Amino acid sequence: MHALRRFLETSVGRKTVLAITGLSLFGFVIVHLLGNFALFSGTEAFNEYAQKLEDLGPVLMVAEVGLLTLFVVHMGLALSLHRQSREARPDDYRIRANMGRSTVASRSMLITGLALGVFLVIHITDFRIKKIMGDPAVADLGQAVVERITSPLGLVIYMGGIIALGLHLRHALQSAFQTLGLSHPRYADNVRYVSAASAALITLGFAAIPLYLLFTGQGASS
Amino acid sequence: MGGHNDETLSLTLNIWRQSGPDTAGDFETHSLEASPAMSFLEMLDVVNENLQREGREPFAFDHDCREGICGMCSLVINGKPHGPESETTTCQLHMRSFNDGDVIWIEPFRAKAFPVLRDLIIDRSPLDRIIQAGGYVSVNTGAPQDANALPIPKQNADLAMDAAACIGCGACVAACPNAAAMLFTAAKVSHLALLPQGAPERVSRALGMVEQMDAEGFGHCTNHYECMAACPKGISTDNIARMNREYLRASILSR
Repeated sequence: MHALRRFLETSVGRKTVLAITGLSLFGFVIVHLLGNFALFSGTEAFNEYAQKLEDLGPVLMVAEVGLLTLFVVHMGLALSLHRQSREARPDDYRIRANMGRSTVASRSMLITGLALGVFLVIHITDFRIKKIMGDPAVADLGQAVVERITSPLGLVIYMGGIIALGLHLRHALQSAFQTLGLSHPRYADNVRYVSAASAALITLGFAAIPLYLLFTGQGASS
Repeated sequence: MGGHNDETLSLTLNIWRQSGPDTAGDFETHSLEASPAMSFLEMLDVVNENLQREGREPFAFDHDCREGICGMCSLVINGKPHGPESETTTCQLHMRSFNDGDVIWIEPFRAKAFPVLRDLIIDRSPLDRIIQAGGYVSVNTGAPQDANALPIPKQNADLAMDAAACIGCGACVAACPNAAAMLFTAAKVSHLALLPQGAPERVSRALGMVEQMDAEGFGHCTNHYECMAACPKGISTDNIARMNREYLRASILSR
């Protein structure tokens, strides 16, 4: 217990946990995206998939609590580490040049992370909490999702969330490997390529869903 | 280089002036005709000579060997630690890297752990304390052993040597958006972790140095890799990955 506390008190230890929770959440995002692909086959298929998840019963509840824990730990650690770095340079440079290695994605991790946090709150209140409360608005969950993500405001929020996710993942994946010490000249380039490609594919995958619905005329019936 | 000696550069210099750690500082503007053959520090020497001739206070700045190996010189020049040339210390930077009419901004390295002592001089003793926290390396006394008794793979010797090239100037901290000292600490952890001579204290060294790094008030690493680009010795961030491994390993193995 002492060793674990000592580990979590250092920035490197906390970053290790940040990387592990981040990679776990990345796995969840992939599963979530594959589930959402059911919408390409219509709201019926989507509802069947949702029902199968509901049928898991207590297993689903354990998974949800686990996910929530991952999110809370990931965000809590990120904020505590960010505060450490804020305090590390109280008096900033008057003239600041980029050395050319940091990227828009790497510099905006806090902002994209916070945006994802806000998106997540909207997303969970809109669908999951309403579903658990038995709100009739989400009785036909597939239809509710389609109407939400194809409405003008819903589409903007959804796309904003997806762009934040894409940018976040763009830096996060290779960063997590580096933090866990999984970097070696033999495969470091491949890790970077796979990270960039998977971030791009996930962004395109999520973005494709409302666009497909709109172009095939299945959007919100207004 | 030869042939340029008759040319001069008309420069506007904005140089940081600060009387002590607890006082506010500001830029002071000076004009100077400089030779392209001068080193950056020689150019500052001329500024100081002119100031002294006028009975004014010269700028305080750190320097020692002036051949790029001691790690004493620092300065953030136009926003970049050690100036615009890659893998070049401030003392090895020459005025031919600048153009006639340039405006040059000269600031100290900035981090809470590196308080400004005066003008451009900062206190980098936190880096010394990180090395101290690494502890000692066991050395057997007695008769000298055979030179080849300890087999060391060529590749490890090379990597250890690359890490040991760190001169401890602190440019990595200065360039890091988080003011983290990860590249410095990683280079020091790496060069001993890669060699059998460093093996007996491998666990305590990784734990001690990482903990001291945090205790000194440096930031955390977000893997921007700006440090590697700023490092005058080209230390690779592969060393940071190695230190992360070393720290994880040490945390699991420590008693």
